[in-house]
Amino acid sequence: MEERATARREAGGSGNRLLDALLRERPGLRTYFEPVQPPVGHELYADGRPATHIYFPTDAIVSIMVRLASGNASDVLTVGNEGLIGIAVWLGMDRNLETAVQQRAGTVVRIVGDDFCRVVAGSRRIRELLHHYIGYTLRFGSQTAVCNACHTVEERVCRWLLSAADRRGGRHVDMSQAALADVLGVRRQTIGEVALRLQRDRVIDYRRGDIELLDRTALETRACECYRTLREVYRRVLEPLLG
Amino acid sequence: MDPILCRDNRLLLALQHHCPALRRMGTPLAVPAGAELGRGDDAVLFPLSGLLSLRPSWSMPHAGADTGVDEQRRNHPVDVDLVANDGMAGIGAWLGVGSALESIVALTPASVLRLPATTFVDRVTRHRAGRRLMERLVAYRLRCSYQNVVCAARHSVEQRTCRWLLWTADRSGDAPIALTQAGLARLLGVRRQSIGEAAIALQRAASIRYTRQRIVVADRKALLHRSCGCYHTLREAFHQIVEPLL
Repeated sequence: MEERATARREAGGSGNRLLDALLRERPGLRTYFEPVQPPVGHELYADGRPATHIYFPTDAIVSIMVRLASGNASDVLTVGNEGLIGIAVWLGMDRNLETAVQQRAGTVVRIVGDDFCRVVAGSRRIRELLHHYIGYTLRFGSQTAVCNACHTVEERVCRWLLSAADRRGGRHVDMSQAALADVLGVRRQTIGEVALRLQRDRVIDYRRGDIELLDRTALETRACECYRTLREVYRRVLEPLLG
Repeated sequence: MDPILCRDNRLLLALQHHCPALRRMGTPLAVPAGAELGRGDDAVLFPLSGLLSLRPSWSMPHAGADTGVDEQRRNHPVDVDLVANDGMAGIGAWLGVGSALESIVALTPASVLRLPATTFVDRVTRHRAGRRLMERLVAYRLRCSYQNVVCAARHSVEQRTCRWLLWTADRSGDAPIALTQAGLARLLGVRRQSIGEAAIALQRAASIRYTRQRIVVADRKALLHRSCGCYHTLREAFHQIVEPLL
């Protein structure tokens, strides 16, 4: 996926599939692009604060989180060059619906909300695309909620590793076990046990901060069905509109 | 059908104010618990009484390695959200994603007003105020989705049981909640036994009472104390996002 993203950028594409589809309808949107490269851990925007921009990651990966009553922030989903974050501005909301944090270094194209809404207004196809994207996000959320309630940590780790590797288009995921524990909302010790098992079975190899996927087939077998289901949802709900 | 305003569902009432054509639409239905009400593509449903639950589409049964987890638990249908008399089932139709989002099932005996999806979308889209309200509903739905993801990962069965009991009680007035343990188990994605254990604990603490298949909230404060913060968070979210437009 990363190679394709590079090729698309060179061919005039933005590096984000969704944004490319929007550009086809409204080439003028490009005028308002502001590529930014926030450092890892940087908060792009916060839950409840004024909603100002919409964002399209290219090679960056962004984490969406919500603040719990306890004060902790908890990871909800991860977005890369297949999606967008900050849909609140397009829905006419004053405030953000979630918190977004830079998870992996890279570029995010951001556009001021008012400009975005003004430029895309009146385009039926864009409205359809954005509605479909929201539908996909809701479906993704439902699946992840079920996953979190019903599936084992090992299944969830395998699912997560596969999705992360898919975005990069390779076999490596640069993520520490502590970060993975955070993202999945489980104890670090549990992640450690799972990682040990997967490494013992030669499914993955991990060194500090880097996880290499050695046996994709085994990973897909050991992942919960959520991985396949959501790929199918993306294929049916979004692919047809992306061109 | 005479043009009437539906006063039993707050959301529909507001939409009818903005979109007069909606006043002449809708088929009332009375359904038993467990009734399947479609995939959310051909109709939208406004509950007047009772609860509807939403079930993600295309859940694929697991075909992978046996990890020793209870098979029953893994493959039974799981519901992810409830809809009552301040909401609408069928947001998938509004978003144009048809049956890709979720199917709708009556969790308790319910009466609903059913409107054909295409006509609903067409009529509401013509009115700016109607579109705005629907956008807010979508935003609220996203916020709920995010919260549910986190709740399912981090909060205990007891906390989550309390959360949903409170939510339901808010919408049932003083009436006992016709929510069974099996229904709760599906909503939380856990084994029925786990709900049973939570229910016993809550009964012992006199927070709830059972009468036949209905749960009665006996001590709201106690339930609040034992619930996760998600109850308050989403109540606040509804209050900020949707309520101002109702």
